[in-house]
Amino acid sequence: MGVVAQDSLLHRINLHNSVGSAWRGIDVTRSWLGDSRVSTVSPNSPQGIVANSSMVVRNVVDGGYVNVLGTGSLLPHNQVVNSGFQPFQQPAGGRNMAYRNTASTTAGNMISNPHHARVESYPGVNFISTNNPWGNIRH
Amino acid sequence: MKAFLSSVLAGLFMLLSPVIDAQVFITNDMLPLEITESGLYVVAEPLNFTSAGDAILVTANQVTLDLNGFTLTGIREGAAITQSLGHQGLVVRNGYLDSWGINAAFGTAIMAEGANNEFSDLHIRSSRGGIFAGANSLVSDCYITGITNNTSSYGLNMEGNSRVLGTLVDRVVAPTSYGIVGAGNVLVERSIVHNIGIGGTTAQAYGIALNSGRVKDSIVSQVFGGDSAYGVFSLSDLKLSSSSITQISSADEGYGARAFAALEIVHSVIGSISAGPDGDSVNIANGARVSESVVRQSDNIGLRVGSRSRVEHSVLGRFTGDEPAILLTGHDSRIEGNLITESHAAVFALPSGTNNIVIRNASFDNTFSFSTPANHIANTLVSPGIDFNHATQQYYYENIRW
Repeated sequence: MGVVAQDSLLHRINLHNSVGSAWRGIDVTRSWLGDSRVSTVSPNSPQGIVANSSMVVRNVVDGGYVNVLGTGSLLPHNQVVNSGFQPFQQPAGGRNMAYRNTASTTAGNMISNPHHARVESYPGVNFISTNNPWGNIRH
Repeated sequence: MKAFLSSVLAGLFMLLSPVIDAQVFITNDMLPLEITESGLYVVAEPLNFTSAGDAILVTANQVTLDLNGFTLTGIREGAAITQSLGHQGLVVRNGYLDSWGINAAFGTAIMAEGANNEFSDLHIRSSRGGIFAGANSLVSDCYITGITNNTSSYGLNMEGNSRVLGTLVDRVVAPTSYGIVGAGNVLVERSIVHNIGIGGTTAQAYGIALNSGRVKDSIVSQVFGGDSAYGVFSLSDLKLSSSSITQISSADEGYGARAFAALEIVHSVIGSISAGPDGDSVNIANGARVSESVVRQSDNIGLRVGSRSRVEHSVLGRFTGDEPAILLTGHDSRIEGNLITESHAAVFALPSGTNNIVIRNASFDNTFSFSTPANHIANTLVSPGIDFNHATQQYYYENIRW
């Protein structure tokens, strides 16, 4: 576990982990997390960011994924790379909004269990996906 | 060779001797002392001033007073160090000021009414007032604690165009209490203001109160005023960045941040406000901006927004009174990309709140979400998803309600 915070604002954090099992990088609840970078080379389900009812904006998750717990999170303008996992994961029925994120070298759909999907109709294969809600891009 | 070195050292001594001669050592028997000439004055022993009046009065420019790690103590009326009006360039550093005016009708630790002064590495404790710094002055690396007064008092009183860096103000206890009070263009940076006010029914307490200025990388916490309490207050323009304002409490008017002109809040946390019936967590006038901040937990309104303001990409929540997280009172403001949770209402517009845009926000676990802004031209969304084309809630305009 790297950083755990509730009702807080976290800005410009750089966190790296080389090993770990189900490692959690930055775990936030009812908080604002932005402009941070979390990286890991652990292959064992590393959760770069864990978000619960929080705003998570403009972060880079390199090697892990974003685990969205509970409900009520906004996750715009993040980048998830090199994880091999589904970039944004939430439980079935999770009510969160992720938009205008990018992901590369990841696996599966942009977001698991999308709830409030809005299908963008712009040209380009990256935009036409029923699992690609509201302006997210998956390369 | 040895003779040569000796002559060189002797020459150096001759060169330096005027500087050494300019030092004046201050001892207890010299008090009260009036300094009438520029120069370096060094305290040579602990100073205990038991008479009424000022211990050291400075009536010259460019005076440096080095406390040399010693304590200057005084318990009666007067100040430890006073600079008379019209003088400048006073430097006070490196020592302790203890109990100034604490048992008297008036008194303070430092009263510098001149300008261009510098105060550093000072520890002021158990006094009736802290530092009055004069215009264009700098206070840095000071610790001010235990300011007690039966009328009005402050930890720091900064005249215009001054700076406070790396300073802690703790425990200012008076019916009207200021952690830091300042005139225009005052910068407070890397500082902490904590435990201000007494909380009585008529008491007023201000963590930081400026005419205008900037508060950066600082913490204000535990400000108690029965009549009114302000974490950060400004009569005019104020920028608050990378700061935390928490535990502001009043029975009547409690505000985390309030400015009567342009207020900009960026990357800051404002929370745990006991606002009373007339306070808000944040009260922003016209032309203000709140961006990428956390505003949370109050018994009254979260953000009261005037006209031509922006509230964007912030987290707001836990406003437990029958009031909204964001109240729109004016016109032409934009509320965009916020996450608003656990409140009576997410966004509510008064009848006066017309021509505002509320867009791309998320409302979660609020009793009511978004009121219909007057004069708002709704964009009825037809995309898939039940929340985007709700028959009776078509005014959401890219807001989502969960």
